[in-house]
Amino acid sequence: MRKNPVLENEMKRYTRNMKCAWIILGVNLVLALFALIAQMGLSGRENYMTILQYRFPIQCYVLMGYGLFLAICILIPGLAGGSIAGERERKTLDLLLTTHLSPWKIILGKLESSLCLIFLISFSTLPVIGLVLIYGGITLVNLFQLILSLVITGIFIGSIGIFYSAIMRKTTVAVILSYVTVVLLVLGTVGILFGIGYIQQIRGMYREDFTGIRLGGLVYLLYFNPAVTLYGLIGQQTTNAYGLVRLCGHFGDYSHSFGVEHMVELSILVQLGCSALLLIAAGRHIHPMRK
Amino acid sequence: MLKIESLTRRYPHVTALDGLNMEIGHGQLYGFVGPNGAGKTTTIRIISGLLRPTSGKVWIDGIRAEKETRVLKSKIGYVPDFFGVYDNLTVMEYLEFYSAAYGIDEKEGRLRASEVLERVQLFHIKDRMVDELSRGMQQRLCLARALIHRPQLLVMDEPASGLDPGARRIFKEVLRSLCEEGYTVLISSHILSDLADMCSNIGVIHQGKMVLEGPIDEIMTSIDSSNPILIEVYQNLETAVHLLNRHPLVSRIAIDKNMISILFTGSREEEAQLLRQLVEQKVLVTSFRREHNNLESVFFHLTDPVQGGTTV
Repeated sequence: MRKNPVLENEMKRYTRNMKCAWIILGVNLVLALFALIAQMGLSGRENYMTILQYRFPIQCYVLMGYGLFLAICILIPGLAGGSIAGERERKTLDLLLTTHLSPWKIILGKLESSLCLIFLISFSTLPVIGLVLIYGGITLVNLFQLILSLVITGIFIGSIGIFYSAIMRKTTVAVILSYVTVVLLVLGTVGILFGIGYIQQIRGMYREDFTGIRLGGLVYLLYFNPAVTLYGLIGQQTTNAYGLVRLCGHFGDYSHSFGVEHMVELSILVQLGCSALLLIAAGRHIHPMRK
Repeated sequence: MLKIESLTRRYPHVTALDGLNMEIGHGQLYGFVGPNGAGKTTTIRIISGLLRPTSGKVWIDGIRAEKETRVLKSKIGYVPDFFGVYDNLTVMEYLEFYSAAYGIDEKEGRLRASEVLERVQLFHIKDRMVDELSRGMQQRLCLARALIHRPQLLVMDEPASGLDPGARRIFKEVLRSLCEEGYTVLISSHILSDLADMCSNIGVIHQGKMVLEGPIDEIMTSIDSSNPILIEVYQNLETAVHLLNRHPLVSRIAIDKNMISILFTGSREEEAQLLRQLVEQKVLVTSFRREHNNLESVFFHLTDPVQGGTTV
């Protein structure tokens, strides 16, 4: 299969940039710090008869998972938000569009280059994350699932960034909008549900027939929240298997709801679907024959 | 090579192109001139496949451009009035990237990159970073990029703007050599003296319409023939004026000291006969010449509403 020239070009430019090296170093240092803290918790009061505290490596894995997620939320909007708008500002977008590259291929090249950065960071952190495998409780399959989930998050957040980058003329505006959208998805969706739930509860205090908060279908807003997907996945992998059902329990009774029980899988599908739509919209927007 | 028929492009509040017609033959170096906002860039962007026309047709080498965009892209090399720089890329890598973007394989791309760098006299800086080059070098690199897929038609939008005279001279040399090799070049520019030196044909666009088009020599001659003849008389001015007043081909006479300016509608031969008649009448003539135009005066004549002419 032919390599996408846009991907190759972007990777060449990223990896020559000192920023890339600093990012990898920074992420690894933070994760190593988590690992160190966990290790100290594990063997802080040791003697050879000490019973190892297995919850520490598990907590370390959970922390590292969220740490990588946070790194993606911080890095990808900045990269993807500047991808097409940056080409436009450099005045290279027109030059690319006069070549045999289709707008879709340009868009995909940009997304792939953002994903490559996630892969690069994820694989560079494997030795640190792999430490938890020594103590058991987390398997290689779990690790693979975690990375896959982070890649999907990267696709979703990257698509949001690329969409804004395609429709906005200025990189700064596209990047700001990307960050705002990510914050709205991660914190806003949960915030909205808790806010509405709180209002229902306040109103219910004055009603005798109030039986609890019921948000109904609104809870499916969480499908758009990649943090909830990760929370559900890590919950399934560790001890907190019913974490999502418990979280949704704040908004009503979803104990037998298929949509909540399979929220991880369904939210991944929804996020991938949204990504596809955003990328199609971005491609259509930069297509010269539609201007 | 390029044929444009009734090309129109409308924006919500302005009509950029209003039924533009244009034809460029194989191997021509065609100068495309017009004031700012006349529609030059819009035309070039439509030809390059970067903009959709509201109506009208564009053929490139007999192929309808709007229908066969991939073929169109193979046949056209586009040089804009700016230079898009990627940081952290060398000159060679920059060209290899664009050759890959045209679907040329890696080995062939490297060969072609060397070839076009030689052509634009930049091979010696192939390992320099693109963003460190001077503007003149960047513009030549941009030309090299446009040649990497061996197009038949080069479309250049104000390529020499912002270049110093030395860089402009090298750029002109490269363009001339390209035309000698059979490339067809469409070049828009504000530097009319440069175009007059280089181009075989020109087209003047004004308010989205082509107001004048043809071989540059013919255009200059046809416009020259409507210019006044200036006669400088050393002696016998009155006799000269008397003769000119009676001449059927002289329509207007203006006198300033020893200089007589006349509007003469005859041919070159009739001009010569008029001079002989003056000499036979014992008028001592020190100079007899038709006032010449340059491309700049033609341009202003056609596009300046105060001077009058948008209708040719």
